[in-house]
Amino acid sequence: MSGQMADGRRFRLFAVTAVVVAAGCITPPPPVGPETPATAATTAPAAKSGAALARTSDERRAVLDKQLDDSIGAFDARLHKEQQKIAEERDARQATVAATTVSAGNEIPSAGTATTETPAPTRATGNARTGDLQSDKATGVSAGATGNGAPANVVPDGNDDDIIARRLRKAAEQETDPELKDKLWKEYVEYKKNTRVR
Amino acid sequence: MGTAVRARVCAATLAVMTAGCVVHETKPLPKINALQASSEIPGDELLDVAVHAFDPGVPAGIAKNEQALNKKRIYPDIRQAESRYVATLLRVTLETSGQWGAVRVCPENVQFVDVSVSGKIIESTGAKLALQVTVKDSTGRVWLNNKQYASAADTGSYKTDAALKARDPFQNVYSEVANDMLTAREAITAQDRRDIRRVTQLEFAKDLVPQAMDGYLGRDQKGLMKVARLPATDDPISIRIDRIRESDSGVVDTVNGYYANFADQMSESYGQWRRASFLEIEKEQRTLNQARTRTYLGAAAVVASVFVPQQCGMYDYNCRRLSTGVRTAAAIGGAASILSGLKKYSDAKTHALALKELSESFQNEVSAQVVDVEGRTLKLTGTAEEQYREWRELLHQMYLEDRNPN
Repeated sequence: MSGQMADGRRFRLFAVTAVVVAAGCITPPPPVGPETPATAATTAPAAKSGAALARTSDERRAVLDKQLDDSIGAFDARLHKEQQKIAEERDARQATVAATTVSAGNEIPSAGTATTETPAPTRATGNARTGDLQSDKATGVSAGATGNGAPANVVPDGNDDDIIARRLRKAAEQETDPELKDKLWKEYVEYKKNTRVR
Repeated sequence: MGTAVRARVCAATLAVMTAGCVVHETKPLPKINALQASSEIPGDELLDVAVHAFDPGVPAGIAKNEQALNKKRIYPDIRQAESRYVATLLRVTLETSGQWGAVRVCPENVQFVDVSVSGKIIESTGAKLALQVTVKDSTGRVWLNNKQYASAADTGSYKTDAALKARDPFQNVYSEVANDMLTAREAITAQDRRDIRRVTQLEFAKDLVPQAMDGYLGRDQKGLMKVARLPATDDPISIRIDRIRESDSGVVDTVNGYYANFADQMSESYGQWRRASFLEIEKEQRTLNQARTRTYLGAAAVVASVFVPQQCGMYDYNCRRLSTGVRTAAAIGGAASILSGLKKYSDAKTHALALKELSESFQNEVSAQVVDVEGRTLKLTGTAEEQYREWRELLHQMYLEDRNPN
């Protein structure tokens, strides 16, 4: 009888212990050894709770990827705003210069040539890669447009301009001295003709 | 009688004549242009260039000594502006040559570029520009080592505002630098150019995730950085690094935009200052030359009148009267010439003062613009640095996750 009672008490003790452990009151000790993603995620300042709570490696990776994507996206958005601001400042300055030369009796460069569009990415292929933020492309300006002072019907469109052609075109559009403007347009047309021949 | 009297007459005549003008003719310089690309360069050989803002070249020993600075025609605030302006003009020259990839002006702390150009302003006035330039690539190869370039102003550029706008008076300097860079590049094989680009990418990657990128770079026998091995094209860490590199390019582009706008903003006033500086320096030089000439000849005439011995016979009164007259005229002419020379020195000082006033006025205008552009650059690069810290940490976690998925 006493042996059965002892067995019974041991069983109840075991059952109670199992319940307590299952409730999470006893936590396993932290692992000892090299840093793992789980410990890095809990200690790194940039870690958010998502990575720590994700159970599988894929889930953790997905959380980290999302954090990186979101962070890069937010930063790129700020850069874009800053670049827009730069373009607006430049356009405002050019508009002031144009207004000053109008009052001196010269023609106005077309407003369509000084846009605030986002600059081209820096990693385009071949020689067409841009090196600065100048809003080079003149949207909506076609051959024969009088606003930018280009000679009518002889100026090719600038959609396939390389770096040099873009620069020439922009200089021609922005030039206020009529003689120089004419020379620059001629230079641009000549350059385009020669590059097409090659 | 003849020789001594003739000598005195000559000296007297010269002393009188130097009261007139000594004109210094400046001829227009032959124009040097940067060599333009005649064919498309393959994308993987097209090198990106960072032109760092130049060292203003204000000697530390006289930086607080206004008198010494004025004597050397160094105006510190103008030099600060010029350090960015010069870099911008060089950038434009390189970019419009079509020989390079992305060419941007950046502050010194921007690293990880294929080709890096840095330099110092040795002298900069409206009359002369002298620069010292160093060019290196990302492997550590030195293309140009403290090479000096100098040029007088092309006076044709100062003739009208349009001429000044069309071509910088010192464009020859920038064209020479660009052409020398091209020569150095042509001496590098196509394979080495491709390696320069790969080394740049791997150095950037290593800075972000050192553990992941360990072992991809090494050194060759010359001590230059080389590619030891390449990451797999579908390596997840590399793909993420490429994305961050695009953002980094955006930062450099934005900073370059600040500098471009700054140069644009100051160009008109700076052009006027340079033209005025050139004219004042020329006038000052001319009056100094005249002053020296008059003083020397004046002194020579006085000396001649005193020390050339009397050649007339004792009883040759006509000769003695003529000789005395000539000697007196020489002495008077000489003294007048010396006095005239002294006045010219004083005029030269006036021109120097006029230039100083002009420069101070321009300095006041441009120093505020320098503070603005540097403030914006520091703010952006500071923000970028904080961002990179966060991205380094995330990439590190991803690297550990990829290595120990369980």
